[in-house]
Amino acid sequence: MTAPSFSSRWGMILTMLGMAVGTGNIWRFPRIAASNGGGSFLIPWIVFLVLWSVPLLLVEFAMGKGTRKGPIGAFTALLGGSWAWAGAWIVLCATLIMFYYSVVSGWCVRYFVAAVSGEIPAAEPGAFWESYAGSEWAVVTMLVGLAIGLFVVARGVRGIEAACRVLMPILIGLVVILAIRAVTLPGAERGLAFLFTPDWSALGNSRIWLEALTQNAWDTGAGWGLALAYATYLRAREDTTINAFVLGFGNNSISLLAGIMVLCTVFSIRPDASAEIVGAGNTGLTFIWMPQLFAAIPAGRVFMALFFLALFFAALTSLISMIELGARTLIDRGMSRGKAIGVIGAAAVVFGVPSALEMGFFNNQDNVWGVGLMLSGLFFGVAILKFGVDRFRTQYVNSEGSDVTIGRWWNVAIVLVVVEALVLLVWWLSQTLLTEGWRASLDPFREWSLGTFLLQWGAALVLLLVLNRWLARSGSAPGSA
Amino acid sequence: MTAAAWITFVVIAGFVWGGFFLLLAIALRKERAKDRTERGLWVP
Repeated sequence: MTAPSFSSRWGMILTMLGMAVGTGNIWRFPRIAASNGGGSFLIPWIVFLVLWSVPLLLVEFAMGKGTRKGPIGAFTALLGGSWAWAGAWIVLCATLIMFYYSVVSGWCVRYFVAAVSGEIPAAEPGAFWESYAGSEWAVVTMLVGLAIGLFVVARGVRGIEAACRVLMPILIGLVVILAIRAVTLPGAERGLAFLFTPDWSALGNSRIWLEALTQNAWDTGAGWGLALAYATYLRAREDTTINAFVLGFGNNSISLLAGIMVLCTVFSIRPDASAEIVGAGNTGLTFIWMPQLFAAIPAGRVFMALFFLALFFAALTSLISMIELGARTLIDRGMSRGKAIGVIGAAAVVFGVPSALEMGFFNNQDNVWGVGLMLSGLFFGVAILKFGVDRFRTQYVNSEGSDVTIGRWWNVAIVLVVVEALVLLVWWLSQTLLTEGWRASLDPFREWSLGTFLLQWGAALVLLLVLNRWLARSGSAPGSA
Repeated sequence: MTAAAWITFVVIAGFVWGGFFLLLAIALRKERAKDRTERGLWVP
């Protein structure tokens, strides 16, 4: 039996883009760009596209294609069984994110339905969000999003590819339509000016660089292990290098469109409240302010429905990739795809429901495992250093089917990735100390504290190290896919 | 929009969007060449 693979390069690119483009592109990028100097932010943002996202995506493409295993099996194949825990951390981190991300997909479903049925314009958007978030309805919609994701992944890589071939062109089309609508609103040029006016002195502010690096770490999917899982299905003749670049640039292209769409809408309708709107957080901007803004433009309900449909497609295609990562890992253990989907689905229901019912728990998980992704990126970088950067580049990156040859610049980029990941980790973990002080920051039961990071990461790492021998054995079992 | 904003827009959007479309075009062109090679057709 031949191993399952993507049917074409176009299908593979759309599937990878579906993984990378998520809600973070639409609800986080515009907010972070706006609150970090607009035009000044965009410069470090493209610098780290090349110095973080693309080098790590190249690692994932090459590891997945070269080993044909998920992260646990790939780390074991490259570095031996003693490193299985590092691959397992990457899987665990992305899977724990998947549990609460299914809640996000449910929110998008609910708001799309509400926009179509006209519930939101009639009600106060803030009140609508307050009555919905954390209610039993959030559980119901989470289950809807999760069920769709599981249904797609159950059909294997060809099912995922078929779904992304439909969803991604529609998503891109919707974002383009919404961006065109936004730039043609009266006063929209204020949003463009805000997004693109550079303040050169702001480039000396380290916070802007760290925020730009964080944005690349979160919204391109680089270092999550998701591209690695999909890359196990690359055809033997498939390129790794140009594809990794296409993915990084394609993802950031959609972020830029989303930034134009959101900021032009904000500055056209409520220029007086722009600072308040971009400072309202992801959910505040998306579920409280955007409905108010759409309600104020002609045919706003139609555009609001299109906006939430785009957001749902972005969430769904990313959710699918997270489910697939978990499923791929279980398949590597020798489990059938059907059984793996059952296990992942049951775990997602059990561990996702608390996030649906309690926003405090949701925020805690988002903080802990979101920052945990930087540790995942660090593990990828360290693994390549340990294996030998030049050896990995010649054996895995510049392999059969590669359209272009990657030069020695990539060796330097990987060293930089490790440095960047360390800096990011120190910065994120120290923020809680600087703002809350020692006593509060060590409290492990707060939504955001050093204590909660150390407790949950520590528990996960101890567990994985204890189970390492078993993980190393199971990660290299023949998979059925 | 000031001139500086326009220049930033052209540079950033040109790099990101232009880069994406250029890379995508190269990827699909290389793919067609591989298809032709596999079918035994002449490749320039």
